[in-house]
Amino acid sequence: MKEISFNYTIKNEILLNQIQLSLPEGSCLLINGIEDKAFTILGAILGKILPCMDLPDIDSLKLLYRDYNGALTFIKHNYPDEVSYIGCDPDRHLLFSEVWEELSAQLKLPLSKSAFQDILGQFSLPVSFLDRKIDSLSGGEKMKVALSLAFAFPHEVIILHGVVPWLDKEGRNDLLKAINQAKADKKIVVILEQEFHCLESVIDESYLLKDKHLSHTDRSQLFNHPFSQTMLDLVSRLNECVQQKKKEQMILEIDQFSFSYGSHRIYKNLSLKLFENTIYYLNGDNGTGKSTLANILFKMEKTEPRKIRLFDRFIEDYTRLEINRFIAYVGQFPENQMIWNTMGECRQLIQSHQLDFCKVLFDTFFTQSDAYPLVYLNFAELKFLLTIMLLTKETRLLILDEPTWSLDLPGIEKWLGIISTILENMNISLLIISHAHSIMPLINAVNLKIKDCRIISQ
Amino acid sequence: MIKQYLKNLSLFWKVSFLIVVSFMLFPYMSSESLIPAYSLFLIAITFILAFLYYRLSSWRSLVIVMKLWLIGLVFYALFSLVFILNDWNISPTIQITETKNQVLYLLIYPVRVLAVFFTGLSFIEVISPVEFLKYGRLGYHLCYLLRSFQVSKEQMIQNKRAMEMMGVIPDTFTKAGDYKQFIRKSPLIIALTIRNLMIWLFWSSHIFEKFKNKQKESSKK
Repeated sequence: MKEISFNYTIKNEILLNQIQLSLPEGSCLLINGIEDKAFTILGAILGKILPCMDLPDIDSLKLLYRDYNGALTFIKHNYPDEVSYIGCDPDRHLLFSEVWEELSAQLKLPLSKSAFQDILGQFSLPVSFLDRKIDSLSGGEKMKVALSLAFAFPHEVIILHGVVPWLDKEGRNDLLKAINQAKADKKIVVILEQEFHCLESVIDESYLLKDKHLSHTDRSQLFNHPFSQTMLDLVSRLNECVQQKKKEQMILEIDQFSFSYGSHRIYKNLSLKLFENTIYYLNGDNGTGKSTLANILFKMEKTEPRKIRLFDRFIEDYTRLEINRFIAYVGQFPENQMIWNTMGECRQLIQSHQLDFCKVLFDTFFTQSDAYPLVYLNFAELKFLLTIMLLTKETRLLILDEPTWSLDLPGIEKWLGIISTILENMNISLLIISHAHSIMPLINAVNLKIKDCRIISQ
Repeated sequence: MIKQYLKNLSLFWKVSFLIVVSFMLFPYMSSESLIPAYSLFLIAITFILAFLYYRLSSWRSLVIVMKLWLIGLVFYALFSLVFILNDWNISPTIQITETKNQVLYLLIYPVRVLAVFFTGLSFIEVISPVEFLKYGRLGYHLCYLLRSFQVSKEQMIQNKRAMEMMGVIPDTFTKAGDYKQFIRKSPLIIALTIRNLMIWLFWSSHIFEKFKNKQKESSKK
């Protein structure tokens, strides 16, 4: 049995108080809680990444990383020196250019294909993946490579933070198998996760991080009651709103559209119609072209002409600026779209926003000072902010790419509140691009599944 | 084919290529009479390097580099005007007396920068951070530096794409206003890249440190 007990303080202020974890051999522990700085730091301390000893001698960087430079005081420590740790961004864990380099350098493996095959095969990655450049992998594929590495290390403890949202159905099944195998090998797996429902069969014990404390929670309570009453109320508000509105006008029509990246076919004779005031839920496995569809709508890829119609014109007849008037896209990585630096800049822009309800949403959810840097916002907050900032009076389609990614329960409530408000105030359709989230079946959305290069409406 | 061939070369040959090219791009000139001949040589070598980069990368990447270089050229033109108008000496090694040579020297400077771009980017295309690992402490630092460069390049492309999708920068260049807008927003692409890179650097440096320590431990054993 491994045990760890510690306090973590930042400038004499306690962030994590008497954290106590008992880790029985061959077990899998789940830690849930608000996805905030304390939660991230807890994962990184268990992953032996934090605290960092030295910060660069630059004031702005010191400010940015101040919370990671706290004092860690062990009360009890029977914890291995080396653990595997995968955080919520796989890019941070991949240190080289190609997949084979990653495996051979990090694992110190000889260059035998069968050894590589076993490691990648755990996450259903073919051996042809070895020659792939890290930059060419999708987010989900990067996470699978990072997970393959984490499970291949001989470490006794594996810490995983926010890995599930990256994985498709097959990836999630592979993760369950890998955890079971690790448990059989007497390893300990600790999972800090919001989307934990698919992990029910492997979790032995569960904990909740709340108000700086980590406490044991009833496993059945966590899995049997995944939604709060507020969430359910918000979902019915959303569904009612969609039901009441007319859906006559067609916004987008794709007719017999095919698209490939070199020899890799993405779509073949794909057809799709999107109508106003409807929620669409686009899902599919990693690499099937969910986000590519958004790229194509914004003319980011060269495609066959006269196949995609936005209202009464083909997309090639629009400038990108015009497309932006009708379609708002909140991408998977909001930091790339965040062209403002401080909350003050956003506040100034929101004053002249065409939509009054957006001003109200902004004032409700963003009360930070004008000087507050946007890099301090977490992923969910960045996405909320972008959603509000990008809407215009003429927006008819709002595309949300992985909107529920790393959202905790209050985050889901906020998200449902925001999209309900948008749907109540505008004649707009939502296209939600997501792998799978337990909340999605409750929402009255048209299910669009990408399979075999086509979209199947369910 | 050529890419695979160059990739398979040892680090020694790749670095040697870099050193040879750097000497060709920044030679010691003893007299200003050499400037016209060197200009022709430089243009020829830049064409060769551009072709090499095109073969190692893609036409699209080549165009992106050219666009970024053209933006830099606008700023450079302003600076060089200040030099010419003030009659300041522009070469660290020779005293240029003739205006014709002075203008030529100023004109070849951005070509040199372009050649540096192509050389550096071609080098990045055929090298991997993993190759530096066997060179001890310095090798680790170089490895991390190279990976950071790769991530920043990828980050910049993503930021540019996101900004194009948002309509912040133009998708087509049909009128002067499009160029103006692109030039005006270019510093923003750089600023966003640096901002996002800072976050990556913090976390990855710790992961890398962990990797470095693990390698040290295993080599001791």
